[in-house]
Amino acid sequence: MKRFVQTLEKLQITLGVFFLSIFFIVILLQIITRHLGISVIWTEEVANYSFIWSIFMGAAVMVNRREHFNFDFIIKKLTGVKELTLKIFNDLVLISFNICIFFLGLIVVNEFWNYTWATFPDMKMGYIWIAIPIMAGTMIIYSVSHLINHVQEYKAKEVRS
Amino acid sequence: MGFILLGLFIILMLIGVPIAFVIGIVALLGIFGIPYTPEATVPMKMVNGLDSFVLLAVPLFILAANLMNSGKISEKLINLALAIVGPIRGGLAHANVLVSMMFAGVSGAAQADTAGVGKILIPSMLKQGYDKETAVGVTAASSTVGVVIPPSIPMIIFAGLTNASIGALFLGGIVPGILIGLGMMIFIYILARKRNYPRSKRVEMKKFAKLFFEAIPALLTPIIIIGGIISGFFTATEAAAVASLYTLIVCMFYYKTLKVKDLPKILMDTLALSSLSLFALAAASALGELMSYYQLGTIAQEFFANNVGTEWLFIIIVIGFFLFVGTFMDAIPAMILFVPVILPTALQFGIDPVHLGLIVVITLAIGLITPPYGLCLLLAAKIGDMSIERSFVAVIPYIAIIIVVLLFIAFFPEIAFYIPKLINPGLF
Repeated sequence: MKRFVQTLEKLQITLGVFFLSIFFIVILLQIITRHLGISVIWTEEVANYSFIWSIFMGAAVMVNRREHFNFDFIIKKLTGVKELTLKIFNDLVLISFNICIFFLGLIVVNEFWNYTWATFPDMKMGYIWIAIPIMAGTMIIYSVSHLINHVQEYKAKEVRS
Repeated sequence: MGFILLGLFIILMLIGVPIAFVIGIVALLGIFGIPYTPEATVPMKMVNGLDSFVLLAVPLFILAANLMNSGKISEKLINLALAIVGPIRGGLAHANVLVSMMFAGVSGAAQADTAGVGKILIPSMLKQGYDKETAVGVTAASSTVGVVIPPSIPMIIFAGLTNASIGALFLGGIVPGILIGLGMMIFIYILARKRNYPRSKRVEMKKFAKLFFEAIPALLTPIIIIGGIISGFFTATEAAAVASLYTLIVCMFYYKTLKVKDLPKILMDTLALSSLSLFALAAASALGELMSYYQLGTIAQEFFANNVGTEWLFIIIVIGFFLFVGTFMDAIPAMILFVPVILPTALQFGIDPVHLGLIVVITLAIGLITPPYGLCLLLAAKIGDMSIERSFVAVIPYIAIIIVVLLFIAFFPEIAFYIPKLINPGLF
């Protein structure tokens, strides 16, 4: 599980960086072509959609690294089993929310899959919307791996006490 | 319904669910409660919230700042700042403020300044006998000018929300940013005399000239960015990309401090940092949909019209409110949620959107150094290995200085508008 999560994280952040590089380059291209008087209409749309992908992939990785900001003063005050119970509860909250977003995301993907980009009629909107269930799905995987760790620690603590 | 959701928001936040998710959960449950609105609105709004070209400036400015740090431009700026203000008593602390102001001119991201400058200056300040409080306090507090002096990420977001002119906001930030920096330096001077902090020797003219010439490519960046935006050569987002490219070229080919193999890590750090506030923004867009369903903007407008008759009291309430929100929320999601709520009232009172923008952005800049969620404070405390509580006490005098400048700008906006009007009278 641990190895799988590590590989997944690496894959996901690489994908995020790939999209970040795309929109960086495309924006530069947009400035150059505009000042050369060449009309390239698709730059803004490609940049925006790459941006959405990169942020969603980055946000999921941040779930694994537990970098999303939270208040920790109550958790810090608790110790032992109580602390772990709250952590497990919070894992479950994240998992439930992401399950909702995953399925709602799939509904959106289904509904709007065949809509096309304004400047690229060959490209489907589905390619963008599918970033939501992928983000939510990976967030579920990361949170489940946290949950498993917390439950294992909880069991170890219970045995000791 | 509204009160249940607010209660849930507070409880989830207190028990340690990440704030971005708390926002999303409340939005989802709230939309469950609205008839005839499909629940899929939440993920759709999250995507729509990010689908805006203006927002691309956020990661790109963070990229520019990370490139500056990795490419050691920050070090060159520190050396120059030290040569300029080092001979004053408390020289390192003054240099800390001055370099933050220079850094602010290149990047719109304050945290990168705390990280880059703090790593170098906090240890050297401690070595020279400064208190830990002063070292951490100055580093964290001076970084706030990063979002006041242009370019500024929060200003770009504010302009996107209100259609206020980005050029006017940027130019309007110059005077308050310099005032905040000068105010801090005056405070440091008094403190340094009292505690007898050291000063460095005056640098010889020849060496000074060398340091200055070395820093020129970096110092040119603000002129390229601001000039490019105001002259209409490129937009704010494009300016952020240009700033990154320019910094990349300068570091790789002029200073030769950056190699291709350094890039993946820089890009990963950039993505990591930007995805945090932008994911919170995506969730906030969903919650914003709920808030506009309940017509909070109109409710606020009626409330202020009936209960708060005066403009100055409204401004004070806005400042107090954003100070509070800024303690636990990132500036970007805070603006996405609440600027649409206060904007109609501000317009009714005849407050110029650019003026409102300066007030909101400077107030939220204070949020960068107020706990529990003040990114610059957390970073500086970590670098200086000091508790958050002690670090917060250390920044309180600097917060007072920012608030004084903020009140000046709030009630005498002409001070801030002097430069924009001078450069381009057509902006107002």
